[in-house]
Amino acid sequence: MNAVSPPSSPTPALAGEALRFDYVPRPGLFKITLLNLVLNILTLTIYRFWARTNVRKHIWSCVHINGQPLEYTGQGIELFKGALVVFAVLGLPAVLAISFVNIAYGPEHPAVGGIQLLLFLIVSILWGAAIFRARRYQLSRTLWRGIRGGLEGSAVTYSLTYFGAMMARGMTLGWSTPVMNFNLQEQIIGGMRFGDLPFSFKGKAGPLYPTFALCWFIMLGVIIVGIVLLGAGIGAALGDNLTQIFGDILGEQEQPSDEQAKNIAIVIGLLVLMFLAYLLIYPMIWAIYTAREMVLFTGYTRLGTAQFNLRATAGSIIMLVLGNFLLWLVTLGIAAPFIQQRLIRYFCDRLDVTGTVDIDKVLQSKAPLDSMGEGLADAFDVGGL
Amino acid sequence: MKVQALYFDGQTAADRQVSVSLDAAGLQFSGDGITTQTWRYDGLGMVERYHRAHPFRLTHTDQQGARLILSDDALAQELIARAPQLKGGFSLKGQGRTLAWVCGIAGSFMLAGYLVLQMAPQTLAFVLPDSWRERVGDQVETSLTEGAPLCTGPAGMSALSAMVARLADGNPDLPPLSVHVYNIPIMNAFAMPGERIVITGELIRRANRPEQVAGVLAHEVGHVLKRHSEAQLVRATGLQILLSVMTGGGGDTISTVASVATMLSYTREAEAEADDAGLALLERSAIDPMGLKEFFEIILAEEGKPSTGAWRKISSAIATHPGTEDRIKKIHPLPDNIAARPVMTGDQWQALKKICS
Repeated sequence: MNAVSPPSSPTPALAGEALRFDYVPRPGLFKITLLNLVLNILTLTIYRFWARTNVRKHIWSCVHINGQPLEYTGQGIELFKGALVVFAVLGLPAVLAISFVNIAYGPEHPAVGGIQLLLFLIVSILWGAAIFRARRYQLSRTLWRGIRGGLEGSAVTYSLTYFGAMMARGMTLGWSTPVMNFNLQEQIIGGMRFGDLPFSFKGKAGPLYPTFALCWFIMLGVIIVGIVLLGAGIGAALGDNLTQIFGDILGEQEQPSDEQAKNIAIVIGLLVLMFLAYLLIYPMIWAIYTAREMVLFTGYTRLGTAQFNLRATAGSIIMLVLGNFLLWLVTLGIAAPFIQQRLIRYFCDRLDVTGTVDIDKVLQSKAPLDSMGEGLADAFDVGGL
Repeated sequence: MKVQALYFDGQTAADRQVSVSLDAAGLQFSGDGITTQTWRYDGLGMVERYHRAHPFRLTHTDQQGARLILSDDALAQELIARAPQLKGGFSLKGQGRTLAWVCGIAGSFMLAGYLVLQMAPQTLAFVLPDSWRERVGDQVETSLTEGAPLCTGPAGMSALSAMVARLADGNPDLPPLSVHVYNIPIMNAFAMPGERIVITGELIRRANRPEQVAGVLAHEVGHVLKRHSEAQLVRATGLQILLSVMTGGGGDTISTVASVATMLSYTREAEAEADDAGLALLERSAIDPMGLKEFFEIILAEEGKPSTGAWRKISSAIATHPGTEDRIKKIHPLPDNIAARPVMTGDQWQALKKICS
């Protein structure tokens, strides 16, 4: 028996192998998408857990690392059980409470708003846990060379950090974002395992701040310019009628004349236009920051002695997100599996690894496998893939 | 036949070259540092279906996580012949079981939904505490009338009370009713939770004689007695709960409450029930039921005319009243032994006509 070396790499001088990511597409996703659609409709969306599993199996198997594909070993029934438990513990009491208040006090009673606020708070606090647990489930169901991934750490800690990050973002006008994102990412990457081999996350949040400040001040400028333009636009369009219009809006409501109705329409039209422009400009500006964050965070990531690098740019992220958005819009969301494929593919195409990992020494993970997955994530719709 | 293959043992990430052969007992392989192993044919599974010229990834029930990757098409095909479960495609044991699960779950939800929506509401409607019905009715009335002016002409109000009292004449166990007239430019009347009835000013304007309004009122009292709007409320809530169960309870599906339209669009049976109850009320109070018939004929003349404007939502509720012709046929004059007595005096009728002015 002659020992044939592993398919991709010649044996390097150092112990271990370099890592290479490839997305190797293959046919079949279209068929999966169609079948999922039909079965989702026939079963009134109950099939969605199995549908999601089928898509993951396909996409995972297209991701090749050093020529060996990933394998997704999750099952639809596990997702279903997870969702059922979360629904019994959280969803059903919430629905019953809202229904009760609606019937007992009527739909316009303040108690309805009170319950919704309470639910919003509960959901906000659990949001991070949903993300963390979904990630843990997916990693534990991801196999490469027969070895599964894993995520150690505490979903509670992550969830509290996540909630804290949301609060801090509001209180600091966003300036806490880089340091809190760093903290969250550290918990995820630092907890990730391939078999018994841990990933590590080493770096600082500081280098994110110049880019953050740039985006923040551009955004501030955009908002100021927008307000000035809006004011000028209203002034030019209406001239002397301006004071009269505010009188109409604020003052007693008589039957508005055609002229007044037209003017009010112009003001509303301008506001809508501004809002649409903002929706378009906002993500484009912040894509600069997102790209920087992705590049830095990937650079902070290590597996053994291997270090990861992502060639992400603001332009490519904008194109990716815009393309996905259009795809989603045109197909009314049916093309979701292809959107996920595009995302995964983006990372595979742009991920480089320097250094090596001594793959042959990696042992199977000892972490126990949960029998259920992603319940919270399904309820909140944050399951990601 | 011996063929090279790649083997992962599920314990380490190391890849091993092994040589594979098929014998009677199963798939046999051995390699550097790997003592000869046999994977029984019946325990073999696959990660994906076999495709020519693609690596065929095998699993085995006895060895969790282990993978054997065959790249030889001839061997793969022979293996599939010996272990037919590797052929893939639709199998009752595999996908069939999943499908049965999913259909079973969806089916039980639908059955639960049918039961909730068919049987529970009418029963629960009579269990709801009065204070609940009162509060909900109050809000439904507010949102239904959407700020339309309440008609409060004093003479008209007292004529309306007289009409309600006249209906209670022969029906002493009638619950206390709250009947309001709103100046709404469509012709309709509504029954709401908590013994509330709303009549539109347009309906009163278009009526030619008091018996027509009394007939409509009796029909709505029929809805009230049968608690149809309470049942609709329970039904709408049940539907919401069911939908949120199925879709995972997230996001918008828990919308705050079913729309007024759903709550007021009764089924054919509910309308027939209200008609029967209303006609019985009229007969016991010796009010000429032909007024209700005349009102239906006015509606019939209206049907087909497209409604426009702000009240469209409400007027479409009329369209859900099923089969007006059939309902007209069921209305007969009072039996010979009961002499119809007038609903109100001519002066009262004139006052009622002017209740909104």
